[in-house]
Formats: sequence, structure tokens, C-alpha cells
Amino acid sequence: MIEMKPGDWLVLIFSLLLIPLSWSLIDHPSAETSAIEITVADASPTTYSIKQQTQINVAGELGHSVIEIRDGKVRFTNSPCSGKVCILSGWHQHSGDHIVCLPNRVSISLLAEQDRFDGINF
Amino acid sequence: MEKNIEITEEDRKIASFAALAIAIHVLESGFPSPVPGIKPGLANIITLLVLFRYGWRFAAWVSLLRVTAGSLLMGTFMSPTFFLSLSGALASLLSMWVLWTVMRRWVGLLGVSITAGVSHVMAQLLVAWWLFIPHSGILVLTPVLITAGILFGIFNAIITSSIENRLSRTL
Amino acid sequence: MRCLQTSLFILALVVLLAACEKQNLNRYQSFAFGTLIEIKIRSDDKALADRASASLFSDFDEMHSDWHAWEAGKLTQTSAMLATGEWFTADKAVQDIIKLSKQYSLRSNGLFNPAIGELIQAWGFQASELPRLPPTEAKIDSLLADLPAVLDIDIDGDKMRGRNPHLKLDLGAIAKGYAVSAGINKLRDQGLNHALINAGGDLCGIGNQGERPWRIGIRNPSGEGIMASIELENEECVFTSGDYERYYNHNGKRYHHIIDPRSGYPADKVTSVTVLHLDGAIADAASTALFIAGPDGWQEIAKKMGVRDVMMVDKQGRIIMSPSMHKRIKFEPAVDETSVIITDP
Repeated sequence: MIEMKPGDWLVLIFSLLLIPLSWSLIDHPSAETSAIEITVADASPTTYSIKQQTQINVAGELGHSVIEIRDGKVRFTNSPCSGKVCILSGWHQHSGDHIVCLPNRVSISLLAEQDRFDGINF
Repeated sequence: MEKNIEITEEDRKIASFAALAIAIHVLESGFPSPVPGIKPGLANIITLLVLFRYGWRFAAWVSLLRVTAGSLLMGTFMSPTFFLSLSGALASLLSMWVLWTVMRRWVGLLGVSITAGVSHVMAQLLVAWWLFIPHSGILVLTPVLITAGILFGIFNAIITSSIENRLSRTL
Repeated sequence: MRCLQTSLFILALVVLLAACEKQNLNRYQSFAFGTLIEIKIRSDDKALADRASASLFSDFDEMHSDWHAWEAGKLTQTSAMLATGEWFTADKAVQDIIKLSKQYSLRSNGLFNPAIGELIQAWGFQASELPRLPPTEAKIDSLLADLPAVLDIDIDGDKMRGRNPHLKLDLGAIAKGYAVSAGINKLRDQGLNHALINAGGDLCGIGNQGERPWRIGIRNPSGEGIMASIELENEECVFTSGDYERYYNHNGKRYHHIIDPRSGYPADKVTSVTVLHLDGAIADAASTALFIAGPDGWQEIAKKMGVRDVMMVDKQGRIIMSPSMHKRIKFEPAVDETSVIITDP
């Protein structure tokens, strides 16, 4: 059906190995999300607690993105990007997760305590 | 004179393949993807087909025409989406060039398609990281994108090869 | 030409892969000083970082047993010798930290007092199991009547002599700080210039995390969560003393481990004191001394101890801090910043 040269086998095997490898390289923090960081373009991020109910209006490159925080979860409810990918992806709640509205250059990072800080003092 | 007509004929083919690619590109962006942010890149089937039939230079034409005209059609020209598209196209063209012109003896459609798919998503990821979201958190997308790039690379290669088989029988 | 093309392609691949490579942050954990110690070392030389961290953990183990206040070891031997009143040569492992403790105790007007092991023992904090009852008033009064202080320790070179039979050293308020700072120094000596040592919530950092300075979250003393954060300068320690660290309740009252040598009872003016300082031993001792001093008397002692960056949370949950600390601290959104009191040193 499809002609296989030696290089094709090599690429196929290598790529099939690359899939689990790429997944294993990424940490999957299971820790409880404690805060979100909203980053607009190159500005330094603003931190919000995830334990609140609020709507946040963020002025991005193209216009206003609206972010909703509720029940320890966060989502985009409105964003002036063409694909609406960030809105369609719905609620997010796991630490280490990110929601990105690329055209508007607004991104949300969900952070656990140990992601936000290198150490906790008490 | 005849020579001129032949070149025009090929140009016409390139243009129609590019038109086909643009149509697929626009259609594909109209459908919501099951995994947000990830698209099969079906228009790359056309690029692969052209690469297979007419070589790298023509594949480059089709691919770049598709990116530019496609973005003009959808009103995303010079926007982040356009630069992401362009970077993906350039990276996959680079990998096609290396595999198809330099290592052609050892590599066929499948190898080119997978490599192009992975190069495509990795370039987009890097451009997104460097230009738009300068936040290393975006790298968590790496495994999803690599997996998608590889799977759609395989898928596209199979589709391209079966189209090529039919084409070679009919033409 | 083909060679050039291939190498260009490989170069492109390497760039792609390098972008996905994780940061060379090496992380180690071990139990020492009766607590969890975490060492983060940012270095390309993983083998060196592995060796250095292992040697730090063994140093910490050694210091912990040498300086243990109630388990037989070099410090309890020294305490026994001090109680005899005779001159003796103290073990090398304890000489330096005793000298420093004496100096810091004097500078803290005696609020940090490493000589009151008997009092701390009476409160039951020299044991791994905490008691259920506080000591009787009579017991505390009798201990206070002849309470040792560092002035009762004469030091002459490597010789020392005690002048109070009740002298019993307890370095609990300085040992961790001393050890962590020593650890940072040792890492630096080996060319490891980016590291963070977290000894059960007290930290010293050197260099930075890579993308940014080492960022430390300060836990809210009155409940869950983080109250504020701070980014460490090139070489800096952040130490907190709190009434929630070691305590027991009796008849609805909390008895915690920071004993005011003046009253003989747990210091009751604040719930926590956080100190930033270049040196861990000072930060550690000062956080204890300023905890005992409380919101009214801390400035003088901070000045004498050379500490500028201080934050304390009082019993009402108000945050009191020095202006220099206010500049460094970034409060979490949940904190009501209008309740922050900034006091001039």
C-alpha cells in the first residue's frame, strides 16, 4: 500500500519512541491548584486565588478577554480570537495546566504552591 | 514555444493544487477540532502529493501560497495565527527538503510526512513561545503536539499514497 | 554541500530539542535535624551537585547529633562540663557555634538565650513526645531564681568554663540557621553558585533559580495558605519563628516552644516573626529573639543584632513590618494590605 524505504522504518520507529518519551519529560503535578497566573503579552503575570468566584476582564492585544473563576476552576468566557480555542477548551482545574488565547496574547497558568514558589517558609 | 506552454501547464497545476490546499485549509478551520488547538493539517496532504509528483520546489510554492492566500482569505494575514502557520510551513518544508532532496534514496513518503509533521508542530510551538507567550508553561503542550504531529504525519502519508496510486492509474 | 545540508538539519533538530530540555535544576531531599531538608542546586554538573548534596546531608546529620540538646553527644558533654564550673577544652564541633551563640545572645539582650536548657526541658520541649501538662508555677519560679545566661559562660580561646550549675545548652534557636548557612558556604566553595536549602521551612538561597530569583512563599501563621512571597537576593536567608511549630494545648491554652527567659513562660505577644538576613544563624536567633520581644520592643534588638528586614504577625492577625521588609514582601491577593503596619526601625 505504501512504499517503505529503510529511512521510513527508522523515522517510524524513532517517532513512535518519541511519543512516550515526550510525555515522560513533562511533569504532571497532581498537587492542588492554589492560584492562577494571568499573563498578558510580555507583562509580568498577575496572580489570583482560585478559591473565589469572580470574573476578570483582561485587556489583551486584540481586545478584552473575560476569565471566570468558580469552584476552584477557571475558564475563558469571552475572547476576541478567531478560533475561540481557549473558550471551547472549557473549565480547567489541574495545576500545571495552561489555557492560552494566542491571538489576544492572554494566557492562564494554573499553579500549585510548589510551582509558584521554590520553597515555603513557615 | 512548446517549452513555454509546458511551463505554463505546470504553473497551472501548481496553482490548482494550491487552490485545493487553500480550500482544505479553510474548510478544516471551519470545523471544531475534537482536541482544541490541534488540527490534522489535511492541507499538507496536497503539499506531500505535490512533493511526490513535482518535487520540492513546487511543494514549497504550494505550501507558501496556501499559507499566504489562506490567511488573506480568513483575515488572519500578519496576525499571530499567520506567523504560526508560516513557521510550521517553513519548518516542514525544510525537513522535506533535507529528506526529499538529500536523503531521497533512503526515505519515502512516510518518513517525510512524519518528519514534516513533527517539524511543523515544534516550529509552531517555539514561535508561540518566543513571540507570543514568553512563558515556559506553554511547553507542557509539547507531548500533545508531538503525538498529534506524528499520528497525523502517518495518516497524511497513507492518504497521500492512496491518492497517488489512484492518480497514477487515472492519469 | 550535502554535508552542509545535513548538518544544518541536525543543527535545527538540536535547537528544537534543546528548547524542550528541562532546566538543570537538581533536587534532593533527606531527613536531618528532625525535619525534611530539601536542597535544590542549579548546575550543569549533575555529578558535582549529587556529591555536594550528599556531603551536606551527612554534615547536617553530624551537626544534628553533635548539637543535640538532650540526646547524649558532644553538646550534652559540654553542658555537663560547664555545670562543673571547671575550665575545659570544648570539642571542636561545638566551639564555634557556642561562641556565636554567646555573641548573639548578648546582642539580643538575652532574649535569645542558649543556656536555658533546663527551663526548656521543664516545659517538655526537650523530648520528641510533647507532654500534656505545663510545669507548675513553683517549678518555673525555682528555675527562674537562678536562670543561667551566656554571661555565665567564660570563653578563652578554645577553653571554656561555666559559672552556673544549672547551665544546660540548647541551641534549638540557632543550630538550623548555622547549619544551613554553612551548607550554602560549602556549596559556594565548590563552585555551586545557585542553590536553595530548605530546612523544614527555614531557607537560605544563593544565586537564583534561572528564570528568576529564588521565590519563597511565606505561609500564613493563622491558617492555611500563603500570606506573602519574597524573592531572595543573591545570598540570603529567610527564617520564621512561630507559635504553631511545636506546641501542646492544656485547658484550652496553647503552650509553644519559644520560652521567654524573663517570664519563664512561652512568649505570648505575637504568632510569628519572619527575618531576612544574609546569615542563617543570625536570622534564626533573631527571629526567636524578636518573637520574644514582640511588637513593642523589637526595634532595639533588631538594630543590635544587625537585622533590618523583619515582619511579625501579632495575636490579632495584624502584620507589623519594617520599611525595608515592606519593600521586599509581595502580599498575596487575599491579604488586606490596609491592615499592615509599617514601623520605623
